Amino acid sequence: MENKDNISQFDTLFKDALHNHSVDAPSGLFQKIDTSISKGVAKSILIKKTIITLISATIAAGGLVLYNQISEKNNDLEKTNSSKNIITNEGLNPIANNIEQKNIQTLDNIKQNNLEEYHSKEAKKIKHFGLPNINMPDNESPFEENDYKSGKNLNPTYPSKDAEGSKQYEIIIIGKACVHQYITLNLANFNQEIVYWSINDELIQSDNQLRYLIEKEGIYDIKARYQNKIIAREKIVVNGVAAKVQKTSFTEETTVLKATISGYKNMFWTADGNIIGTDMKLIIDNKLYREMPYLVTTDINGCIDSFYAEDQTEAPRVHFSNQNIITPNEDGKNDYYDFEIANVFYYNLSIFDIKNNLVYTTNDPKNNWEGKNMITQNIAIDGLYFLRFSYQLTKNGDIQNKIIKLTLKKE
Amino acid sequence: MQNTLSEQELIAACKEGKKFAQEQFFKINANKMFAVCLRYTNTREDAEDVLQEGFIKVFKNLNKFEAKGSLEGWVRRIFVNTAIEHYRKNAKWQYAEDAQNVVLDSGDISILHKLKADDLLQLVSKLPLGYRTVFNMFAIEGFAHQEIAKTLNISESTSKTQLFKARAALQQMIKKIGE
Repeated sequence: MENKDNISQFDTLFKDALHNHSVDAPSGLFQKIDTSISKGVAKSILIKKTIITLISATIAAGGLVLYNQISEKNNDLEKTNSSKNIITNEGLNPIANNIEQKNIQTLDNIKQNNLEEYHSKEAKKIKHFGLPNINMPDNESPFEENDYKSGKNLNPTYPSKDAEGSKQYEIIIIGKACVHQYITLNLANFNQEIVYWSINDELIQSDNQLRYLIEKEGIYDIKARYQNKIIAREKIVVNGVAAKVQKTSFTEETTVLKATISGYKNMFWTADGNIIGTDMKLIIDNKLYREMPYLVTTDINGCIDSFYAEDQTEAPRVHFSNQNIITPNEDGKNDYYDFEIANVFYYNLSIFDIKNNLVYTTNDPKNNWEGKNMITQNIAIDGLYFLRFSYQLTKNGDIQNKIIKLTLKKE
Repeated sequence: MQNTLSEQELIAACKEGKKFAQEQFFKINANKMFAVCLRYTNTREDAEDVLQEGFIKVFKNLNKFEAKGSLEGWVRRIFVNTAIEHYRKNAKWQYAEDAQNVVLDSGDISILHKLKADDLLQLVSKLPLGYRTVFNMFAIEGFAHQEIAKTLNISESTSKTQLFKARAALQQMIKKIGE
């Protein structure tokens, strides 16, 4: 008991001394951090530019029919703008270059010049969210039909204007309603200086313009109040980009990345700023790239997010200690056989007594044998036991066996 | 003027990417977090790498901080996680000879009382990385064995064993100091 108290005091002394301990950080480190952040922003911008270019291209490819219809009405306008509209994909991989050859117009041009006219009913959504809901032809889409949800469920919804105020004003939303993006809210034709904005009933005083950071996905009920009356109201739905990257390393050199995404029409793998794939599955040679690939996805509202396929793969670890006895009495010493096997493709531990009876087996390398007979759940009888470890380091590797002789003593 | 920012204002300014705010945030937290990094790494250079990486993560993820808990706790967690990631990428579990099961006595505790934080940090730094990581997480950060096992991808038994060995190794060092 006294020893337990001492152990507790021992830990506490370390905690008290070290938990809030400070050591002078190296000078000049902030400049390095600042530089890294700036590079990150620059890289992010580069990737986003790349992605936007490709999104524009793919959507435009899908929307070519739409565009042709539009352009019939706007031949003159197209001619004047065409020189500015061609996408340049210098430095991108062949996927992007092929798209370039189609001389596709950027979405921005379609949007700015024609889309409101063509899609008058959808114009408001487009104004807010940037990208229209254009279905890509099946032969252009990298996905099966079931890979993404119907866009209808993901589009923002706009309730009818049932605000309590006598006169209705329109809330104009500038910017894309995406997670981690700012939007600016304006009241059109409203000249009073003080408007009380509330978002999801959280009151925020401001002038008639409010800059708001969307921190997470969800429904945002935006109300503008003047003299205790709601004079304008909008409701927007912001969908988080849901993507998941699973990673399997076959060898240290080759890795398979698989993506699970929902609700999106575009996804790209990028590495070193270049697009290296658009399939749900990507096999990469780790040595080819300086950086592990990003997965970049774009939802139908035009919100872009990216995900590192972080290197979480660890090399297999196998270690057997020289221990030859276990004394499972919970005194903290020799309570179990100490070994470490991790990140292997296959594993089995089977333990036999001297008469070759199986007393314990597991396929989970995290399970230690604590001396129990797995059938009776009692500590096995004293004596000699044989621990047979079978493991396969990699999928194509051989199964290896290691036998450990161990004496169990209950004392 | 800029030094008088409240924590909330500082966070808001950092979220907007204001350099002066990020620098102030760095100054407030750097020394404490450097001590955390030193506890989890083998060399000062590694600690500096983790410190740099940790701050980049903090600034990138500050948008996700919800003011429900303490900012320092949130920042510390990021640094601990970054240090553990660093450890997982760069280190293998280290096995030392079985430590002797020395019973802690009041003499050890009394020596420990006389040591300063820097001395204790040095003792912890001398532990093999595997022992040290578990000791840091359990004794200093307050993680449970279950959580340590999950984070480090080891069994609970291994976590307990590593902790036991860490304490024994520390104790041997303390006894040497007392000789």
